[in-house]
Amino acid sequence: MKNENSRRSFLKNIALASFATLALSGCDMKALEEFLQQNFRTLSKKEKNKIIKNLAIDYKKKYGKEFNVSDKPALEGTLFGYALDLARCVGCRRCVYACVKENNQSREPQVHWIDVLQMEKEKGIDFAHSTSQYNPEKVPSEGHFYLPVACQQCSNPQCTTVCPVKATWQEPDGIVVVDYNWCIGCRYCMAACPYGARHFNWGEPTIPVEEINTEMHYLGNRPRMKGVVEKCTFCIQRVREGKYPSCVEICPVGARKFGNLLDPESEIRYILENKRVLVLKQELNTQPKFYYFFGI
Amino acid sequence: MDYKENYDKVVTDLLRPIYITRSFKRWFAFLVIGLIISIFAYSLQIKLGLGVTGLRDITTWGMYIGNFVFFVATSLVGMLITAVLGLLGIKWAAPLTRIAEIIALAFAAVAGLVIIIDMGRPDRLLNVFIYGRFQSPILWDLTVVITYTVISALLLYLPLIPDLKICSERLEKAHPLQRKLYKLLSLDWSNDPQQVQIIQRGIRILSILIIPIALAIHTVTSWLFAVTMRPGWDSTIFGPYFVTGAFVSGTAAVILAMYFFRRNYHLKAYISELHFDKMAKLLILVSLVYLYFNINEFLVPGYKLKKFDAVHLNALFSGHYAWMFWGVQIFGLIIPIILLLFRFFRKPAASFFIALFVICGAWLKRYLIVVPTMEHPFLPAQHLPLNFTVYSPTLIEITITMGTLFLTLIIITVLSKFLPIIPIWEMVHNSEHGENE
Repeated sequence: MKNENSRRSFLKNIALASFATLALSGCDMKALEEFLQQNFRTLSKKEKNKIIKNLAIDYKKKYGKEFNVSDKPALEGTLFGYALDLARCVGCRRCVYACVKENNQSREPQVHWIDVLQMEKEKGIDFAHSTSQYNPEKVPSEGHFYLPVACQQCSNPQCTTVCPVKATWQEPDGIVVVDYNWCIGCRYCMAACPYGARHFNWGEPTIPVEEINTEMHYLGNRPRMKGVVEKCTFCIQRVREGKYPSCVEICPVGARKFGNLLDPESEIRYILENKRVLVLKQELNTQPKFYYFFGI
Repeated sequence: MDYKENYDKVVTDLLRPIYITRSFKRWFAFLVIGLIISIFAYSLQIKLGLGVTGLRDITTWGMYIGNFVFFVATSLVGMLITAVLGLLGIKWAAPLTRIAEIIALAFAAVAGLVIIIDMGRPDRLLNVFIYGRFQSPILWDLTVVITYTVISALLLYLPLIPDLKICSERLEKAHPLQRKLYKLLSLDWSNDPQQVQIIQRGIRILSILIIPIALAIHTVTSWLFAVTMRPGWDSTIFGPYFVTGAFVSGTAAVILAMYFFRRNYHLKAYISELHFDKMAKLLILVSLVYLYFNINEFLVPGYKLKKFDAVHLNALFSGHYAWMFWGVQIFGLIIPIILLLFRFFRKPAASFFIALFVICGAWLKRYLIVVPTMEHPFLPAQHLPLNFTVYSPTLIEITITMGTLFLTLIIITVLSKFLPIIPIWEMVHNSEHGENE
């Protein structure tokens, strides 16, 4: 018991010392509050409300627009899954840019959550002979097919396992999210992710004011700060409101399918049950909820 | 040398370097200026973000992490010399224990800082201490690095207590404040048999304790990599592979320091050719063991050439990193082993130069462990923009990395300047003890 006390008082002293340093460095109360903010998972409803209200005010100050920041939790009875029809995808990259716009990704330095790989039909799915730097006049180009990669929303994610502070975790609806206010920027998750799906803010992210998306989720597309990791969240701000992710909506060939894996009537369940489905790097046992299939 | 009979001479000799010379001032000023420049570089990194480095989304770990592994590795020599050789009762190593402990303490302490440099949000460092998840290898690493630093500090301090007493008594020309500090730190040592017993028991306990902790610190550092599934890191021998590699770079560091102190502190009688000969032989031994692990690490996957391992190994054997890989293996490991087999190359100056090669090789080796694996992601997408795939450190990054070396050298310089670099009391006491037997 005594030990416990001394540890607590030690931690308290550390905390006090850091407050003092902060106070001396001339930070205002708001910065202090942000500094002391707890992990999003452990916040009460009241605290969350206060934080997202403050965020909306901050963003308004910064961008001069009205923002709607949500903290909506996972819906009961949902487990989201994604399927992508490799036979249909033409590699137009509309999804890449729709995602950038929807999710307020930094334009400079540029961050893309979706990476479309061009593969050779002769070789099949072979990453060693793929490229994301294809640039023909017209897609699809002869003899090629396309495989877009984003976060695979693994059921057994390596990225959350290695995180030293639990700044990233899997939500009850299966979405792996990041608390941008908690991430320490060690990038261990990026080293652990087998899909290169995580992206780091190497500098202060910039988003043009006129393009900013004002419908936001705390764990999703709200503007990030420099030095933290971000990733695809299946457009958490949309799917928890019953909408499709924006990449699904924009896809001109209908290659992208999305739905609730727990709903036996859903399109995604139909695909899993009736099509030839594959996941990337199955041998690693990450158990993605992002499936690829050949529709024809 | 008979320490007991020449007690006065020994004390005078070993305390002689403890005064500030002009060359010391110059050296120290050089280090401080270097450190200030790198602190400035770090402030740029804080202000602009980690984008000032050559790191990008594919190569997210680079020089900083390689440097961290090198620092942890080099610090392991304290355990090798003090604990392993000490507990085995190997007499010749006794005068080198303090050098080894100072190196261990300095490198282990700075290793902690090196990893903070790599953080995107160092302002949230406290999260790791207060809300750390023990499932993450980063937490394991943090725990053992801190423990090892503390035990190394104690292992430096305990045998130092009687020496501090000698310092406070004999260093008449020193600043009164400095003498007072010596006295304060010597904890009223009076050479009482009971005190002697306590201190010896303490040293013995710490020497035993530090062995598993030192093994843990580098094993855990290797697990930081080995727990991921990346080709090049996904290996089961990473623990011993790292530990043996650590002994190589640490032994080389001690040889470098020995040479420096022998020359500049005029300690030829105390750090003799015998010591270089023995340390060089130790270096052969640890290098051979390390070579064995290297062969294991590269020959076995190289024989199979699994799909993604092949991409990685091609880059090392014949691709982008071939010059560095073969350079490190040949000039940092094989040639030193061969040369040191000849007595001529185990002389002080020759072994100094060989150790220099070995330690540079050891640093580059850590770079090779981290960077090429990061460059070959799980999805080896070709033809990405060059700055995404091929990592080259920027000037700012190199300056900051140099700064960590400067800081370590400052710690070593200060400790070795104000403390007797050869343990006086232990030497005298041990030779007394030896006679009694």
